[in-house]
Amino acid sequence: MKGIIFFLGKGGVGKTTLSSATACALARQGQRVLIASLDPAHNLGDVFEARLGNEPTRLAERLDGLEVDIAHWVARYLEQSRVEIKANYAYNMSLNLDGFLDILKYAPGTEEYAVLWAIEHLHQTHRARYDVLVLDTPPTALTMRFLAMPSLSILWVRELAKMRELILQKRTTLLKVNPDASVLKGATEKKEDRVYGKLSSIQERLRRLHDLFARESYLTVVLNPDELSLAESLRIREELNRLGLTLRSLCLNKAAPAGPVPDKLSERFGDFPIFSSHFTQDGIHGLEGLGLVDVSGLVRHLQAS
Amino acid sequence: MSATILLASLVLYLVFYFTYGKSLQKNLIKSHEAPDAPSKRLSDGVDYVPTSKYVLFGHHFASIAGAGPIVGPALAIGWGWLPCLAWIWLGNIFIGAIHDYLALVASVRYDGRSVQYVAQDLIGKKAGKTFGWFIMFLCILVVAAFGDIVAGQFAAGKGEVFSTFFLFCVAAVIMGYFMYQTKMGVGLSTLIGLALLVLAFFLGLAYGVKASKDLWFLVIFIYIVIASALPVNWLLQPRDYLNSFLLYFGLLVGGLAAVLGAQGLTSVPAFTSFSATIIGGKASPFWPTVPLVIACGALSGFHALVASGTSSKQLREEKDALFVGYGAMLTEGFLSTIVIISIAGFGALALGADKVLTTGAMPRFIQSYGAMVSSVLPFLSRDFMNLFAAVWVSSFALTTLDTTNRLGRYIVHELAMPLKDTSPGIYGILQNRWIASVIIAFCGVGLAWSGNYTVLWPAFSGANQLIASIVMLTVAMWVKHDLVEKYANVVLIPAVLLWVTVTCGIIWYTIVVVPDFFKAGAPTKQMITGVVVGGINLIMLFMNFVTVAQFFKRYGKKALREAKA
Amino acid sequence: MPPTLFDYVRKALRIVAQVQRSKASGMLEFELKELENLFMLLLLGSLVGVPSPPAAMAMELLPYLEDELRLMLARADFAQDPLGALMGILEID
Repeated sequence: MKGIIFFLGKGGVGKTTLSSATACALARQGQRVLIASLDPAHNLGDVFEARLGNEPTRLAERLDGLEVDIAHWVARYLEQSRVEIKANYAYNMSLNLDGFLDILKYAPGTEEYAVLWAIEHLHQTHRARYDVLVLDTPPTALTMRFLAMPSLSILWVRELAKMRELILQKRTTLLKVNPDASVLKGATEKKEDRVYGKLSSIQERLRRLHDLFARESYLTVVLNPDELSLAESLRIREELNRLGLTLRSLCLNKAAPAGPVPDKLSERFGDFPIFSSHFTQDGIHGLEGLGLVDVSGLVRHLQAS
Repeated sequence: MSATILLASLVLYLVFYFTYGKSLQKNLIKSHEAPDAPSKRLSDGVDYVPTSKYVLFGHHFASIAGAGPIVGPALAIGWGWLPCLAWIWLGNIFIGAIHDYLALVASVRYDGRSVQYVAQDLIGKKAGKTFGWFIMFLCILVVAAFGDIVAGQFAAGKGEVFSTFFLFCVAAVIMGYFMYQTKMGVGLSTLIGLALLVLAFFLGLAYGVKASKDLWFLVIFIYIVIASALPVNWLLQPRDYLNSFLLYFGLLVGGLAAVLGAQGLTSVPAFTSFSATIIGGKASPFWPTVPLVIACGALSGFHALVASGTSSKQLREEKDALFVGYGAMLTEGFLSTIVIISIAGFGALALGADKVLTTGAMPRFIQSYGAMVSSVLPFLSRDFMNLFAAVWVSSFALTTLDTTNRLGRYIVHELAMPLKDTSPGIYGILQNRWIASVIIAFCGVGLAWSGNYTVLWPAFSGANQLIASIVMLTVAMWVKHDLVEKYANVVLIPAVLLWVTVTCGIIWYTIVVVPDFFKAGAPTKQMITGVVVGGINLIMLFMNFVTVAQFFKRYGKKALREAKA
Repeated sequence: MPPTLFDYVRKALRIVAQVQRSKASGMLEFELKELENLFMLLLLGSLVGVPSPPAAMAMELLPYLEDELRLMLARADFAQDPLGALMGILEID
């Protein structure tokens, strides 16, 4: 069984419902499941008819749920930096960092970074207590960004680390030849340089996250039988390929009852596993409603991989 | 007599240092009342670091000493040794060293900003721009002048200068490897480097590489482009380091030989004529053209920029500026004095009594120096010392070719800035460092190929001395508005005299020397040189007048600060 | 005890050694400072509007880069007026 199951897809295709139904099905089969919503819209609580917070709330036997507050994670992430900065700067350093840190929460890149750390935290904190983590993802744009971040950032951090190494080498050479040289008298050894250490640990973290997404995750896209949905799914698969991540299956939602998979879909995706679902008219609510959704195909596929 | 002259120069410099120099410091600059030097006030452990004045002196002197103080006097001795010494001594004491010293102090008072910044602040934006263009021209012309000199050296004799230089580079690379990449200390690496250097000389002397001068121009061009693209620790840094040993040895041995030789200065007349044939084969009037020939030994504009670079940021106290700025320049004058003595005293021994003034400037110096040292210190053979002198000049010159190329890339970029919006295509091309590098190297070597250094060196000096005169005017402005107004004339008068001299010199050059390029039957390449050099001179003259006009407009204003508001 | 001639000679030799050490490393020193400056610009550029890695990652490293930050700010000033230093470090003559 894979560690994390990601349900991707546009808004409104039925991600929350399908991911919830799958979570229920897995729990019924004996797995200990944690379902978490990264979607700022936070429909998860509505679907389960429960109040969800940052900590796991029991929803059913062997099934817990929580809603990740991304804004909270951004703030927590920045607060950590703020504390470290205060601890390390000399007292006469007159930068007004508090102001900066507040602006940073709007900076491009901060949000996806925070999501990554949230996922990492979830995975690490709860791996002992649960067998499966089901993730209801935010809208595709943000999801693709945070999925991409490890692979993109790794290259960048690696180059920065190499540059730092070069700097350390040159410092050593220079101080050897001229101990009185007026350069930054910092560390010269890799093991003493906190910046290099930090860069290495960031690299390590990113690599672990990439491995988590690439090897320990099951990614599936939820789509509806319309052009936009199909186009988006194709884009997502392409993008995931580029990142070294594999799309495992598609979940076709709101398909006509007992109808064949639309031609285009089979044309583009060939014998890709596609699981169809069909909901009742007024949406699904509560555990009973979720129990009615047929996700057996998906669950079997999950267990097989 | 040579001993007397040498000692006289020493005494003269020392006396004026302690009287004139100290008096300026006490009464005009008033360093004892000045605020703390920026190295202390703005100390950041990175650029602003208080440094011992002796170390700074060594630094500064090594930065300004090169092939310049040798080439100039070697050319100028055509006027006779007396006028040359007069300029080297008096010109240095009253103008050149003062120029260096005041530029340094002005920079210190401006918190270590470059003299270009100061000029821009006091005179106006045009002055700042002018600096940039003059430096660009200076870079191209110095490459041209030195390129020609080096190519001539490589093509001369049995080609031993090139092989020695080549082995010198190898020695530098090897030493650099030991010093920067291994755990071997500085001391041991230095010894290895010096040993390899001596070996290079012996091997070079034995095995020469003969080729035509044209081929050497091509080699030099390729060398410039490659060398300036290499990481500095491979070749430039270690070679620069070894060069300093050549300088010390040359100075020491030369000085010793001059004193011990006690030779009368009979190889060259004390005075030949007012308008001896020096620049471009033309009768060159001593005034106003001597600054165009003897630059670095007596007065040199770019020294002001060097002084306002790192030296001003590292002076421990402002009082040290006299020793570093004024003192280093006087020491360079000392080097030029040795050059004059060697030719005037030993030229006949080296070349034959009647051939001294007819031999080219570089061979003149090299052979005289060789003869001087080997006759007094016989364990150093004549051939060896000739080679040493040639390599000394060539090595410094080639370093200049490398570094000017690097500097030139920055200058090209700065000057091309206005094109960013108007012609982004051209701007984009000039931004590319390979293209900028090739352009500069091509222009410089191209001029060298088609011209010769008796014409190119004065052109370079022209740019250099124009910078010097603008610096002097800037300093005069500074003295008037920021220091003691009543003493302003102490600086203004020499500044104006200098400016008049240099401007007349360049005008003379443009009117007398440049047309020669276009005389009937001149080959195309000569005409191209004429166009380029003439064009540069005209542009410089124009910018010169514009800047000076702005200077005089500002100078008259009572309160400069309000005037700028 | 008043300084003897030997002391003066020793002091002179020490000064000469120091000058030579600086000569052997002057350009390297300049190069290193620029490299450190670039590192900072790449890392923190996002704080001053230069496209660069997530500001968030930069913030993680910031606590350890106090000296480098000072250098970067000093260099920003230098970049406006580098001619003097350039001509000093590059032996033009």
